[in-house]
Amino acid sequence: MDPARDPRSDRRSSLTSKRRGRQPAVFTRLRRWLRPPRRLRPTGAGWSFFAFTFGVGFAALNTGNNLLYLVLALMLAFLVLSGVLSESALRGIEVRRRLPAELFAGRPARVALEIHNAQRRAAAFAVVVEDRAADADLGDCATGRCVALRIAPGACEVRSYAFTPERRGALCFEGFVVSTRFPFGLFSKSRVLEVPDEVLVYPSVSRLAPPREDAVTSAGGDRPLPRDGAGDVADGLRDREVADPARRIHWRASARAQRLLVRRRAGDEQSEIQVQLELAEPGGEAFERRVSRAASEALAGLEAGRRVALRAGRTEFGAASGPRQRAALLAFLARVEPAGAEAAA
Amino acid sequence: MTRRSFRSDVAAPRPASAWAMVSVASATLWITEQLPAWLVAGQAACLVLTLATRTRPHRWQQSAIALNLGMLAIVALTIWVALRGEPSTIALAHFAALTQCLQLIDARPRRTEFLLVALALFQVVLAANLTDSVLFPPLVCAFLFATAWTLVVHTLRSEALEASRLHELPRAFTSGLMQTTLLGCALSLAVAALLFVALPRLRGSVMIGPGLGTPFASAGFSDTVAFGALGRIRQDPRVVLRVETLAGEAPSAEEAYWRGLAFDRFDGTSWAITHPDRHAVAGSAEGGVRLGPDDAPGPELVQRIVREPVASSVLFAAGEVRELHGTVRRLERDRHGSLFAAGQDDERLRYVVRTRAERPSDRVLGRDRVAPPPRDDGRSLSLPELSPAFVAAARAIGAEAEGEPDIARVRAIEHALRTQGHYTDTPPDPVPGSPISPVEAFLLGDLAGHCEYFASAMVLVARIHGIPARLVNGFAGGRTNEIGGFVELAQSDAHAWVEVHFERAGWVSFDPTPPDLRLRSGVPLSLAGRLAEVGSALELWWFQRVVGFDRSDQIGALKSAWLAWHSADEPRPARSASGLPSLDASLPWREGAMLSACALAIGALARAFALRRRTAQERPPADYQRALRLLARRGLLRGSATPARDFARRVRAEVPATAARAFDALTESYLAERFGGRPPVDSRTTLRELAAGLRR
Repeated sequence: MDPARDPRSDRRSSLTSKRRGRQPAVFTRLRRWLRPPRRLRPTGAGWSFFAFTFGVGFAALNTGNNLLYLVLALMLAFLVLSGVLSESALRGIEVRRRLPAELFAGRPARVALEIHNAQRRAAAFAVVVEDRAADADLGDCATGRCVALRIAPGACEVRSYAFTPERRGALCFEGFVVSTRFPFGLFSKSRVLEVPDEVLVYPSVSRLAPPREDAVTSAGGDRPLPRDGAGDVADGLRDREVADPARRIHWRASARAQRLLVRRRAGDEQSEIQVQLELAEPGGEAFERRVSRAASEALAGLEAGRRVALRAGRTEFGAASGPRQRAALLAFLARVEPAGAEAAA
Repeated sequence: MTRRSFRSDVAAPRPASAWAMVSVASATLWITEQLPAWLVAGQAACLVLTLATRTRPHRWQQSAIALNLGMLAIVALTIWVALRGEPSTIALAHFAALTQCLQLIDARPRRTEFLLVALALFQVVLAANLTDSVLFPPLVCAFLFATAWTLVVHTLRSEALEASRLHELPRAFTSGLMQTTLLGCALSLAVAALLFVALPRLRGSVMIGPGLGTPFASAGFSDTVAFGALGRIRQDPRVVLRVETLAGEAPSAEEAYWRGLAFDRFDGTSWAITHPDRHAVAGSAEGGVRLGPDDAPGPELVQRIVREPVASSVLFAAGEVRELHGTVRRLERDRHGSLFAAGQDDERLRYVVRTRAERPSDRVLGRDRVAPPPRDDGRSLSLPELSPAFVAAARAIGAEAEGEPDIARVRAIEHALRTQGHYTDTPPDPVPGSPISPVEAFLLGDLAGHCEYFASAMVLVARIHGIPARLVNGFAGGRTNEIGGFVELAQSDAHAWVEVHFERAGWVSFDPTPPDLRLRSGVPLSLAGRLAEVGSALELWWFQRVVGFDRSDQIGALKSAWLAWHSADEPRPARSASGLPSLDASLPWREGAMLSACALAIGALARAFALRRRTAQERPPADYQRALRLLARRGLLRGSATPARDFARRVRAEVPATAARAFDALTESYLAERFGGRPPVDSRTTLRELAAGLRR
């Protein structure tokens, strides 16, 4: 499992709580407990219909005309019918979210929603599913919306919406608001489905040219790092990486160390870069730009087949290549905070 | 959700159901007969033309200028109708009908269909104020269906447009959606019926005014009767009274009379009441009013009467009224004993009367004698200026009974007119400039005329003989509606007869009109007549149960329901203490409850059967189940979520090889059967092998 999506990740949990921790838990619970199972909001036409019904009721009471009472009864029954049919559209709706493997800040992605109608007989009509996420600054906000005009009984419709995360870090999806204006457009009835989910949004990256082989540089800082070793001459041992062919495994040393070791060669060092990220203040936009630059350089190096190391303050990632290294670096860069903020935290 | 209104304009043509909705709403106004013919024709033409050009509207139909000009013209016309003196309801009906047409003409993209729905609804509300026709409920039901479907189509269209998924729209309009809508509408009708009964009848009269009244067409029955007016009324076939006998024995058509007004002064051309002043009767008719002593002798007759507007506030009743209960706001009575619902001339009235039905027999009257009533001042014996020939002819009538008891003299006059006269609804017109009145011409001629002639002649003849008499009008005869079980009386059953005053018996009725051609009940019914009978029965039900449903009915219904719920075995009273029959008496509560219970039981059985069938389909075959039981005795339990093959694998590790092989075979057999294949083994034999293997 991608560590960024692992719900058991402690680091992610702490970040989540930090983001969510604006409201006391008791208040949140109370609000959840007090929330009605359905939310009904009249549309403009609905308010007009209410006013009309009130007028007819007044006229019926005033005149005692039974036909007006009959019309009033029909109008009230029409409202009941609207409620029953809209309930039948919402009752059996279940939604699952399918997130893309990687989300980068500022880069559009598509989030798929599987809308399932669990009812055996009644089809659901005009179902609008709104995906909700918790934002530290804005509170609850909609990340996207999908519409399914008809979902047959027991069927599942897949819809997707375009979503561009604004910032890096943990993004907490809270659930869905499923609503419908079926059947008459007089009310918008909605129901909240709590499907919490969390995804790590990687920093925004820009496409960079692969770093030069003779001067592998840092990112975020501007200090070139010295190159050590050259040619194909064996120069010690190192841990085996996925990209290393089996013939380079030093079996005897591996047996001794109880892990796979390969012979280090001068060429290895030649294709290794180290990205350095300054964690010192100031934070804010300048820091975000440094993180974005670091992520871009790391990705450029990894995509060029280099082994990439990262140093940020006291945190250091050893040089490695491959998807695991990519995920580890991006996850770190997604969460990293400036030194002052870290200290404050 | 933050979206409260549709954001996109729908440019697609309106659904055809919108035309159905508008047609039905317009029809509710048409049945009020308050719209002029040109407007009805214009509406119909507009409906047809706009429906024909629904998908290809003309360019001007999308021009805001043209449509605004049309709106201006409609407003001007409405103001003109109002200024012409029409009630405001009628003016508003003009406005609603024309604006509705303009809405249909308007082919511009629109955000909501609710304006069209609101206008249609407005028409229905106006119609509810202008009519109480029995055609109203079916039209309203059709309106409900059409409106529901129109709004469903528009909602789905708007959602598809907003989500840019118009291509999915045809997939949404399935027969299932139509069925759901229809079923929902049917259910909402049932809810509406319940709400109709339960809504509180609190009459406020805060805003009632001349424009909000109920301008029903009057039936044409007046306090003062010009001679010949009754004959004209008799040409009208419209139903005026519907009479249900609730207690007592209903009289036959020949003997059934519903008295209205009594006239004591005749000037040769019209009958009038000398002292028309009335006094209010103490008490509330809505709660029941007693009008005579309870201990008066004679059988009682209780009748429920629905009276149409008759341009007079008079209340009709069969005989001397003892008690009255009904929707009468102010009950008044005149010196002749006639009853009036003051200020309710143009309203349909529903009332129950308890009357003394027995008429004194001739034997009893033979011991009595005619005499003017007290404080009569000679009014019951007064005569207009009559020709000597008429007086001579009058004296000749009944002369043979001279010297006999008074009842015999009265009977002789009645018999003479009845046997010698000839009934016709179209008597010969009086000769212009003739010095004699029509009554004189009738008596001196061949005695051909209608009831008014005969009754007038008898009153005059009786008064010439010194017998105090007066003319009474009302209704007589009628036709029994076999379907509804009531008597319906049309304008053509309007009748005039005579009352003679006896010293002890009071005013006693006599009818000198030959009954043969007067009575409608003698004419057999055609097919159309039968259908009309059904319609009339429906109409009465509609008037009594819906239009006339009031607070007392509501309380009675709730009380009956409560009593039926709590004391199902106790006998139900036929009518309430006030005399009005409660709904309990007319609605089969117990039968309804039993039917509902049966329906529920059948539904529950059907559901249980369906569940059982489904469970049986999902259940493993019997041999596999037996095998599972055998293994369970050895502690090998298959969990509900454990796949069959996984369990077989587990069993393989725990039991002897022969048993394991047998269970494997049974598992495969079960899986083959479950997924539609043919079981590969004889499961019974394999089960025996499993049992044997487990025993080892």
